[in-house]
Amino acid sequence: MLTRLIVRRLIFLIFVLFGLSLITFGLSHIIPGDPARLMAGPRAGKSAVAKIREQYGLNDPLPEQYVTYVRNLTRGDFGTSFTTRRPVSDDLKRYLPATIELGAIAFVMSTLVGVPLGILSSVRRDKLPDHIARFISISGLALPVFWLAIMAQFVFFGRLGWLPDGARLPIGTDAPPTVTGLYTIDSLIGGDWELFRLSLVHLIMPATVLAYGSLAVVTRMVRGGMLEVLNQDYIRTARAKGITPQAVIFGHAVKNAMLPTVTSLGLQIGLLLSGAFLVEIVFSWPGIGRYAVEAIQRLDYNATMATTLVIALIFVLMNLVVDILYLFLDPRIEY
Amino acid sequence: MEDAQVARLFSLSRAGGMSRRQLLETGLRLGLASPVILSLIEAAPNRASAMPAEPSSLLTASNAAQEESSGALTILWTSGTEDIDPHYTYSELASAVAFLVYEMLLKLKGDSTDEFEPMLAESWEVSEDQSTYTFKLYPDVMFQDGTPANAQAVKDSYTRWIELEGSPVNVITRFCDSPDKMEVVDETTLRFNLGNPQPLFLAAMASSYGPMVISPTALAENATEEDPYAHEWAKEFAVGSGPYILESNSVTEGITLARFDGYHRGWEGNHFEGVNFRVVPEDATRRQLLERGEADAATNNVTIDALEALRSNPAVQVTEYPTTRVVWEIMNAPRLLTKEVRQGFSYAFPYDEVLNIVYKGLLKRSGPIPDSVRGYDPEVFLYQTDLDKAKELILSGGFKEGDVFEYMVDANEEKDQTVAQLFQANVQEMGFNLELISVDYATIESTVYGDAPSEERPHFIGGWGWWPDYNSPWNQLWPNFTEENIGGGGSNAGAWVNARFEEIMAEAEHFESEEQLNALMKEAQNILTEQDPPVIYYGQRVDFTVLGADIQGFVPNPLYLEAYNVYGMSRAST
Repeated sequence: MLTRLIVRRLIFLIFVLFGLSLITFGLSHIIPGDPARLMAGPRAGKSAVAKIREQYGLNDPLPEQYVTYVRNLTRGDFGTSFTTRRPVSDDLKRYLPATIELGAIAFVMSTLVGVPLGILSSVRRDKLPDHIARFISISGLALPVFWLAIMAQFVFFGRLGWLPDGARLPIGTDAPPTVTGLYTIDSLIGGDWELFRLSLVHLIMPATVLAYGSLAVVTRMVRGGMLEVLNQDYIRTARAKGITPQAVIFGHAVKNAMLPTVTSLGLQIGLLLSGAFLVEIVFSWPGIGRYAVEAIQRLDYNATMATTLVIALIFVLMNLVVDILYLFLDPRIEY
Repeated sequence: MEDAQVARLFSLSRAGGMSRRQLLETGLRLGLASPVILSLIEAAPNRASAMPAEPSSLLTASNAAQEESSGALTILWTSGTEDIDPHYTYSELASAVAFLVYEMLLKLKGDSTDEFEPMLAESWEVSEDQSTYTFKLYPDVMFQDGTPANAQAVKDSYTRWIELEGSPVNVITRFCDSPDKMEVVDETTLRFNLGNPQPLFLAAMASSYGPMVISPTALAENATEEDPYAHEWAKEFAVGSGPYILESNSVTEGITLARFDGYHRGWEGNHFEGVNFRVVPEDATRRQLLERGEADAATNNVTIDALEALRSNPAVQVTEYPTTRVVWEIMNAPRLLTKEVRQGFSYAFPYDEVLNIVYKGLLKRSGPIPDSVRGYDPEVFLYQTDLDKAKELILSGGFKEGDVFEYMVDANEEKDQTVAQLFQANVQEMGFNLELISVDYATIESTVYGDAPSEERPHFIGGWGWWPDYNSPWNQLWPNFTEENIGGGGSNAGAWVNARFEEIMAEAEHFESEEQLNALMKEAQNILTEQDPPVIYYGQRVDFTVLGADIQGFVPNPLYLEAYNVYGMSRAST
């Protein structure tokens, strides 16, 4: 059943990516503007612009450009970025790890805080812990992430000076030798504890800001799920049989309340990646979000399409992981 | 090839021709094992004794003992640049970096726009008819890779500049369109035989766009069959003879430079050890970095509101200075029908509000030529807002009340948006409508330089402007207002044509005396303003640089926009 599910989803993925490539290609080329002109620079002569147009195949008819793009895509070739003039796949290797590291830490933070907070909020319903959790959740959902980022930076860097303003490492500090591209992991692999500390310190503020909105969703999902489960007959029976409250909550309620939460967590990964666009700008974080923003501003079709496709791919794969987890969490589910 | 390079490295090492850092870097680039490089470093004699005797200005790394360090200078920038090839790009960041990594033959002196001082050339001679220029180079100057920066290297580099045909190629080809006009007289003498009088050749050679000299060795090593000028390499890397070596370059993170120990002017005194051009996209973050002293400088890269607050902050100093950048909005001449209509809209523009409310004094009223460029007419006609007169002129051109005009403006530029809204209010007060079309800057740039016919372009494009590549009014006016520059990459986006102006430009390109040029420019400026305005001039930009309170020695030049004279700057010791 598992193999069938994976195969079916992977076939589905091909259609999703194809559709997305068509939409992003169409949208990118509708925007008025000439990428060759932008690449050549503001005062470039006609010949310089013509040379670039020829070099990047921008003179070809649009359908031909799309067919070439898709053909290259099947070979894992995203084309060349007009912004960095490198293969987009090289750029993704360079920028994606920064976003993954940021997103992963934010995900861990939102899960480690959000799940217990949701549980606490449900078992202490309408008490002080529930009110605090509600305040955190509502503010996390209501406050725009860019505003939160600017305010956090203003307070913790600008006023208190406790945390760095942004970037992955202090300026002038060499990055650890690349193994995974995640500085925290690579500095550990290299045994450089100081670099590990610096990487972690630089992650605290952007990851917390990014995690905050996601934390709100997780908390509300867990709370809702728990409240529903805690009203079930089997919970009342368990309590009537004299099982300790802790055993009821953690042995019976949490496990059953986790199903909707797992769905939510899977989706949060995608949301964290898209939220990273704004966080990366404010915190000068050299990730795929900033890369994408620069690409969009410079009409860099190839980079824009590649980042869209990569994020879509992550979204779809996360959904697949969630579906697989469902099978283990609830063996009654069939696909 | 590599063996030859290794042999050269050994020879330079023995001759003391390279610093320890250069030996280490070059050795690593060539793939030599660390022990081999270390032995080279050990074997290298003290450079002070190995180098030939130099004039007093030619100091070497042996001055270390007398040095006083300022640490690194951190300069904030809003975005990175994908291309730092000085022969190809027009980016201001690339130009600022090129000023520190490369050298030209000469440069503008301090804040002057018509005095020069030596860089690679210690002196120069100009023939009486101004058709031959002979540059005498400093002897024994080295590029950062150990290649001699001699007359042949300059010729090779300028040959590449001409043949690569990048954006700034016109800076040289206006005067010297062929490598044949460059003559290597001897190791340190380069002569330009231009063929006819060229009074502005020195000015062009001091431009911040193009005249940088790149190591021919580095270019040769990185050239390929498809890329004979090694542009692919030079857009990301750099080897020059300037005071700083390029250490890292990232579009999203920035550019770091480290001191070049072998710099021919030496390091005696207090200098910065390195320079960090840090990319920080967010306005608020840049301001906080400056306020907390974690960044040392930013030019025009904080909002005008933030600038107000920074002016009274003792942690920073704000320097304001006029530049040669003139800001205007383009009028679509064919769609606005007559010169009277364009005069009318020039009277409709809210000059005082734009000057005082939007730019808050960081603008100086001007015509098309800024006041520090030759040919500037101090009596140039300047429009004043007069809506009655404006309406009368617009109606005389055939428009009627209620007509709608389109105005394209950068959606992300707050100042331009405000200017557009103020102009819109004036236009509406006259009984017409101004429809604002907010687009990304990329669209504006593509529209201006693109090939779309006039009828497909808006009536106005806001927030445009220009500054000359060097001190030449012809260089300021020709690209924007001549028929040749309509469409196809030219920037005469309003498709404005004036027969007399064309004649003036043709004559001014090869002027023979300053008096002749001034007379021609006086007439040209009158055509471009009072008689037949192609654009509405806001004025000449006043730039500002926010510096840490302890930074000293910054001298901005009106023609070197957003560049820093870092070698002449230092951090005051506390």
